[in-house]
Order: sequence, then C-alpha cells, then structure tokens
Amino acid sequence: MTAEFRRLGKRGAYRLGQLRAQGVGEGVRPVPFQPRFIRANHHFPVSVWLLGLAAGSALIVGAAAVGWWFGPFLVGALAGVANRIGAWSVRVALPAVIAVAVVGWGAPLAWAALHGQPYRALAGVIAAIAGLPASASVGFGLTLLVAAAQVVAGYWLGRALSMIA
Amino acid sequence: MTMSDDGGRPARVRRALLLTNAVAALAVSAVLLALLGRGTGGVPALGPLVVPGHGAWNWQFLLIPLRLLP
Repeated sequence: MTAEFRRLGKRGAYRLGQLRAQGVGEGVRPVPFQPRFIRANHHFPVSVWLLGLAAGSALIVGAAAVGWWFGPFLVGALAGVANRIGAWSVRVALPAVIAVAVVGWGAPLAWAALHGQPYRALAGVIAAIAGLPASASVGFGLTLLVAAAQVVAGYWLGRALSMIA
Repeated sequence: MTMSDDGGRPARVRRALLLTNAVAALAVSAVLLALLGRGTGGVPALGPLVVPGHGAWNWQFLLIPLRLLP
C-alpha cells in the first residue's frame, strides 16, 4: 500500500483505465505555433545588388579623381532611393553602403601608397591639420570616417525622401 | 480613421513621422555638407582636404608652407 502511495503523481503511475492497457499511449502534443514572416522581395538577385554596390564604389572613385569630395554623399543618396525597390533592411543596407564608401576612398589611397606615394607622411599631416594626433593611422581613419559619414547621411536622406514620394 | 497597411499606425500619424524623418535627414545632411565644405572655427574644411588624390592627399601638398593652409 505504501508503494502505491509513492507512485501517486508520478509519470506513468496511472494506466488510464483500459486505454493504456490496450496500448493507446499519450496523445501527440501540439506543436507550438511559430510565426514566420514572408521573405522580402528584393526584385533582383543578390548578385545584381552586389554589382550595384561595386558600381557605387566606382562612382566614388571617379568623383574623387575629379575632386568631388561629396561623391560618397551622392552615392549614398542614390543607394537610399534604390533601396525603395530592393527593400533591404537598414541592418543590411547601412553596413553595405559604408563598405562602398570605405572602398571608394580607401582603394585609391591604398593604390597610390603601394606605388610609392608618401601617404604615411601625408596622413600624419592631415591628422595634425584637423587638430588630432599627428599619426598616419589617425589621418587614414579620419579620411575614411568623412566618407562613411557622408554616405550614411546621403543614404538616410535618399531613403527618407523616397518614402514620402 | 484610416489605418496603414504595414505599420498598424493611423495613416495620418505615419505620414507625419515620414515627413519628420525627411526633414531631419535634410537638416543633418545640410549641416554635415556645410561643415565638411566650409569648416568651422578651428576645424578646416575636411571635405576638400581629405578627398583622395586632391587636397592634402596630393603629395605636392607637402610643399605648401603650413602658414598658408586654411
């Protein structure tokens, strides 16, 4: 009798009458509901968007070649408007356009530095003129930061204007 | 009251938010471009200064006496 009491409340202690004895087990538990969202329609394959990003970098390089310092801003604005079609989330699009700007200004610097231009010295001078520690890494970082800030502002503006249009 | 399709907010409120966002973006962009293009106080115009291949990234920049810099 004591053993029967110990079984009370434990799993398998109750035989559910004849059903359990006949081999009818526990019912299948319902699967919890998991909401799923429809995948965003980007209208074009990812490769096309990657090509667009590369074109953006090329545009920034070209603009820098003719002295247009606001090239990253223009490309960012174009990307913001284009994202109206692509419907990429900000978490995806913003790092992408920042990478475009960094490549657009970083590639010419790296290319020239590899071809013997005294860019380490120039970077130190740039940092000093801006009132920062005269270090080459600070000068390079400041340059890329200016490009990134422009592209982010341009992207924000292009996206905002396209959303109210 | 008209409801928007995606946000769950009333269409009028959503429209106001979009307009506010656009005005803020416009203002921030204008300030940023003005700061980079013209500089302020002791900070020089960083835009023309740091554009690759021009400004201070032109190696001839090293030949300019510092007293002549902006």
